[in-house]
Amino acid sequence: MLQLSVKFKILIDVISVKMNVIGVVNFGGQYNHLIKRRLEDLGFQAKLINPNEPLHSLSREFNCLIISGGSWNIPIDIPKLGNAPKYVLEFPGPILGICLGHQLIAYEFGGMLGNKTPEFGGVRVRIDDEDTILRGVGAEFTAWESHNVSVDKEPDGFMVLAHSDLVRVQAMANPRIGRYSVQFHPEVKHTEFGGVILRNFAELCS
Amino acid sequence: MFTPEDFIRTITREISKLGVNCAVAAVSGGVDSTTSAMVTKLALGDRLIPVLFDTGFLRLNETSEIISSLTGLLPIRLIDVKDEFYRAMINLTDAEEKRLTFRDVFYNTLSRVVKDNGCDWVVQGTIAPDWIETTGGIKTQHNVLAQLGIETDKVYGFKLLEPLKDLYKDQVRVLARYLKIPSAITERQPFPGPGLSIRAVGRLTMEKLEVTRWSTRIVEEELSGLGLSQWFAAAWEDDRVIDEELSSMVKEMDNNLAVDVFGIKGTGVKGDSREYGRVVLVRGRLSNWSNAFNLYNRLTYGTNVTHVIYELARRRPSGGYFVAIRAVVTDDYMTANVPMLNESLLRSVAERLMENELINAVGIDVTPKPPATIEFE
Repeated sequence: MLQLSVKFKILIDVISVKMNVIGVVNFGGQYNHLIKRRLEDLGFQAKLINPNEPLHSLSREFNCLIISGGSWNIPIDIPKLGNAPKYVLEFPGPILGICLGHQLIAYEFGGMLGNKTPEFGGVRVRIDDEDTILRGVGAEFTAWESHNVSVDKEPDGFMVLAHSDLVRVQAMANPRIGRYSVQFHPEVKHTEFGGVILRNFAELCS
Repeated sequence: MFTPEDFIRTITREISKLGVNCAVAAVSGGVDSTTSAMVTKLALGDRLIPVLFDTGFLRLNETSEIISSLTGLLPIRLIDVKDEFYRAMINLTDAEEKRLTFRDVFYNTLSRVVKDNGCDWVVQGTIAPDWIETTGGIKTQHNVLAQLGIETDKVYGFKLLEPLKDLYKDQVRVLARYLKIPSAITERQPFPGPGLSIRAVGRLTMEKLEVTRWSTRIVEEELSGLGLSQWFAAAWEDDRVIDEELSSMVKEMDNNLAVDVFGIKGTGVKGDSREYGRVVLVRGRLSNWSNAFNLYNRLTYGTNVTHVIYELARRRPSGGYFVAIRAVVTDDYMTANVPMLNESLLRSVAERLMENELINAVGIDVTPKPPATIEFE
């Protein structure tokens, strides 16, 4: 009886780990490891993933993914992103794209990118639609940015959630297919409401 | 989630399993290296030998201050290696060349100490931002080897223990307070391994090093107690040329302003990539003091400018040294904000710095990270 209940408990642990761990695709960007740390601070579990992992093994292990930043430029560096473009199109659960991940989601679903509006450091972000991942963030806030490429036009089926003076698509979402993305970095301490945004996404995963 | 109790339980168990004969801990007196030595001491006891190198690039009276604050905590041995570092580094100009040379001399010296003591391991205070910035190619932190694929046992003859390598500064501070390390160390502002050698920006000379050392003391004194995370001085030659294109980018903000480009270069991080770019000086009266803190987004977007300095005081049109005051707020040092410090306070610090005849002009760096890094090199 005792043995049975121990076994049962282990089974439950395995299931709950599977349910709660968020996969963070690691491109070696400055803040990839910090995303894992922030999610853990918020009480979620996260694991860094090599972008060469096949899609089917990720789909088995994780309910949702975060695809973050790196020094690559979209679209010319797409060959360096391993299987990440495939995750964007085919991963069954929700994905949050951050910075490069945001640009990759836009590109793969047919949006338009540009390189005329870089932003670095603190930028005012204004909310167009306080929905999904931006629920509870108010009308505007300061976010931290570090990008050369930006999304000039969102793909069909996506709604723009926020903009800045220079960049029209600071955040976008297509809840029907579970794709959400932000140009700024919610994982860095200086982004106001960054924790709220990460939590909003993480809660979509359970 | 990180808690000091869990962390210590796990890490001391792991260290005990390594079969360490004896380990030399490289301690700088900063919170990272001191905490890593203290954590390791819990597992190794007397088999840990903490050493402090006097590299010649430390601040005024720094070695004696460190030794006195570690009394009763870590029986630290002071090793004077100034001559080795000066011989290898005086006259170097490029930021990465300085950092790589510092790393070389540092580990060769450490290797000798390990051998002399019959040890087999080195303990160091590498934390997450160190290897993230180094492997990401932003700048080479001197204490990152394993993450670059350098096999220390083959190259230097010791194995490497980095108990804090997955932590950030704020987590290390929580751990340090839990270990009852004195607040002089737990709350101490970060100081890079290569120290003043990378704050004497551009070609390293003894004179520039001494100007930097002197200026650092003044800035640290004057700006303490303001809630800053890091505040210091950097110095380089006051050689500049005016740049009409950059000047036009700020004239719409304030018609009086002009932008000069310095002869030295400074390190930045833009879009997750290193930029070793231009350091610029904005001169002229501002209609509004807060405008100084918005100059960076006009001058660093779409250019290779990495640090924007606003001029506070000047003696002659050129010659001598320029001193930049750097003051930022951050918890984890991955991003940093420049707080809007009081103008008259900064001007009075500048006046005090100008008492040194070698210093010709003083300014405040108004660039956050990104696009700058906190340090200039």
